[in-house]
Parts: sequence; structure tokens; C-alpha cells
Amino acid sequence: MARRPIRQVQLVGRKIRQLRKANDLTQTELSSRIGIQQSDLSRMEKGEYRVSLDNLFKILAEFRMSIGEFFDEIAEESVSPRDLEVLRNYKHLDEEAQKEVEDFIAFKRNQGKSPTE
Amino acid sequence: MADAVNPRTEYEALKERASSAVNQGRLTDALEFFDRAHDLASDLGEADLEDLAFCNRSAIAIRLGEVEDCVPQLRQMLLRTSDTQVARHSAYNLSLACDARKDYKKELFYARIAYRYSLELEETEHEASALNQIGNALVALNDFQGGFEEYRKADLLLRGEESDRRAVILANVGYCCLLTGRTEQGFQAVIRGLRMARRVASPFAESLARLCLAFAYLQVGRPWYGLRHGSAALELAEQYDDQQTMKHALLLLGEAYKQGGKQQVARECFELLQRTYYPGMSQVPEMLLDVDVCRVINLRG
Repeated sequence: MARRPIRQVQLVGRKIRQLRKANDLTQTELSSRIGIQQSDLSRMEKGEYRVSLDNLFKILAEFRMSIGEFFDEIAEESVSPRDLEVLRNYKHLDEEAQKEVEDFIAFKRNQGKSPTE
Repeated sequence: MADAVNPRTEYEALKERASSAVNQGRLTDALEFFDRAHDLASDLGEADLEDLAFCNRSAIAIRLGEVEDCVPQLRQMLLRTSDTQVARHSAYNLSLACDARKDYKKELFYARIAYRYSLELEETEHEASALNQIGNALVALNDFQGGFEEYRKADLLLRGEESDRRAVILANVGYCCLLTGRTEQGFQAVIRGLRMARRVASPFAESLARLCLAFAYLQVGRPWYGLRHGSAALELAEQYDDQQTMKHALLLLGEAYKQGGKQQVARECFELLQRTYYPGMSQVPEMLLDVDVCRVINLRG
């Protein structure tokens, strides 16, 4: 059965909930520490809430977690089997070949997107 | 014998100069003019005029970050005044102050009070401003459809008007459309707002519209257009020290470079954002490189 695509905002919310539970905090406790409403935190965890930049950093600071780790775990959940296969193949290439692949990706992304100023 | 300057005339002249300074983004100059107007109003001994003069200067002071100095007096004014104009103005300014404090529920509360008073006064422009402020609070609270409806009402009230106020409202309509999946409608509204902002020569309105347009282009995967408008927004915001717009412009510039495949430049934008606004959080640039931040972030939160 094909996986339903998960919206990034839902993944961030899910991760916040996981971290909160792992740190044994209630929504009331965490929201109080961050300085937001408990209802807003609840919506965040359900992925129904776009987070302000300030609040996202406050949450991460509260968990004292490396931001890279936070989003690495999200990236794993949002990567499809096809993406993983491409990544595996990429990792088997030598350094020069990897550079060529990166340059090609950059070329394809830029193709037809740069306006004449 | 030289003619004595009529204090009332001088008061009105100072208000005009202050308004002109605001439109040009010279907020510090505007505050100085409103301060002098307030002093004149005190000399005239008319309580309501003095209150209105305080409201005028506090609106600018709040935009310059001097929130706490104004709030107690505005609150008292709202409670004691019997003048509808003063009540409307103080409620509106309290709404602005709550926005600066990121207390969006109170912002909404005061904006609705300001709206009710503006209805009593039957002043279309103030009704529109209050509706815009209600919209701002709703968007900050993540109610994008609600915000859209309020902004639209505000825009309809000002139909036919060419002003910085309307340009801002159009940009706000556009932003809500983008967040509720109405991309084409969003682009149309934001571009209309930008064109109006340029016609009326309002750097504040133009920077807001350009920021929205940068966001819009990033949503549809056109990073170089996003870069162009984000850069312009940053430059305009720097002119009048709008830190909030500068912060978000840096974020969108980084996103634009990232989408365009310029990872190193994106990192530099994000590092500048982190150093300036999030000292002590050195992991931020890495986080911003890994995630499509435009999909999760509310620029009005």
C-alpha cells in the first residue's frame, strides 16, 4: 500500500509531541515554559499550526536538542523508498562522481528558472 | 506687528509633517513632530485634543519598539474617556502594542473594540484599519481564512482609494490567499498591492508587499524572482529599521538561494539571520538548510 504523503508541518508537529513525551512534559508544562497557549501547542502537535520562527527556536532550545538531529529524524520520515535508493547509489560513487551528480542536480534546478534581470 | 502663530494651526501643521514623515519611512522624525504636537495640545488645555495627540505619538513610538511606556496611559485613556474618537484611537494603539508583545488574543480583543468605535464614528478609513488589524491578529493566530475575510472587508471599504493603507491590505489579502491554496488570487492581490505602494511612494507598504511576493515565488518554485523581491524588501526595511521585516527577508533570501542550488550563499544568509536575531543558537543555519521552512513557518506569527 502506498504511503500517504505527510505534510512537513505535520511532521514538525509530530516531532514536537514525541520530544515532549520523551521529556515527560504535559502540554501545559511545555507551553508555559515556552510562553505560548496550551491550545496553540496542541494545534502545533497536530500539524494544524504554522509555527513562528521565534517559537520554533524556543521549542528546540527547551529540549536542548541539536537542531540537525531534530530535522534529521523528520527527513527520515519524509523520504520515500525511491529517494532512499537514489541516496544509496549516490553513496557508492567515488568523490569525483558524487561532485558530478551534485553539479548536474544544480544545473537541472537552475535550468529555465533564472529570469533575465 | 508680527502675527502670532495660531497654536491650533501649528498643531495641525506638525501633524501633517509627522504623517508625511511616516509615509516616507522616517519614523524618528515623525515621533519628534508628534511629540511637539502633543506639547502644543497640552498648552491648549483641551483634554480630548491632548489625548488624541498622545495617541498619535504613541502609535509611532510603538512601531519604534517603545511599547511599555505607552500601554498604561492608553489603557487608562480607554477606560476614562467619553470621546469616541479617543476611545477608538487608544483601542487601536493598544492592539498595535499587543501585536508588538506577540499577545495576539489581546490584539484581537482591542482591534475589535477599535472597530466598534470606528463604526460609531462612520469613518471608513478607520474601519478599514481596524479590520486590517483584526486580520493581522487572526493570521498570527493561524486563522488564515478568518484573516482573509477581514482583509477583504477592509479592501472593499477602501475601493477606489489609492493609499499606503490599501496597498498593505492588498498584500495581506494576497498572503492569506497563498496560505489557503489560492495561489493565483494571492499573486494578483500582492502584485496589485506592490504597484499601489510604488505609486503612492510608501516604502513600508512596498517592503511588506515585496516580502509577500518573495514568499509567493518561493511557494511556486521560482527562487530567482523570490530573491529579487526579498532583496528589495530587505533594502527597504533597512531604511526605517523594521527588524521584523529584515528578519523574514533574510529567511526568504536564504530559502531563495537554497532553492536555486546556491547552498553556500544560503548558509551565509541563514548564518547572518542567526547571528543577528538568535545569538547562541549556532545550529540554526543547518536546520534551515534541511527543511522547506516556507511550508511550516508563519511569517506573521
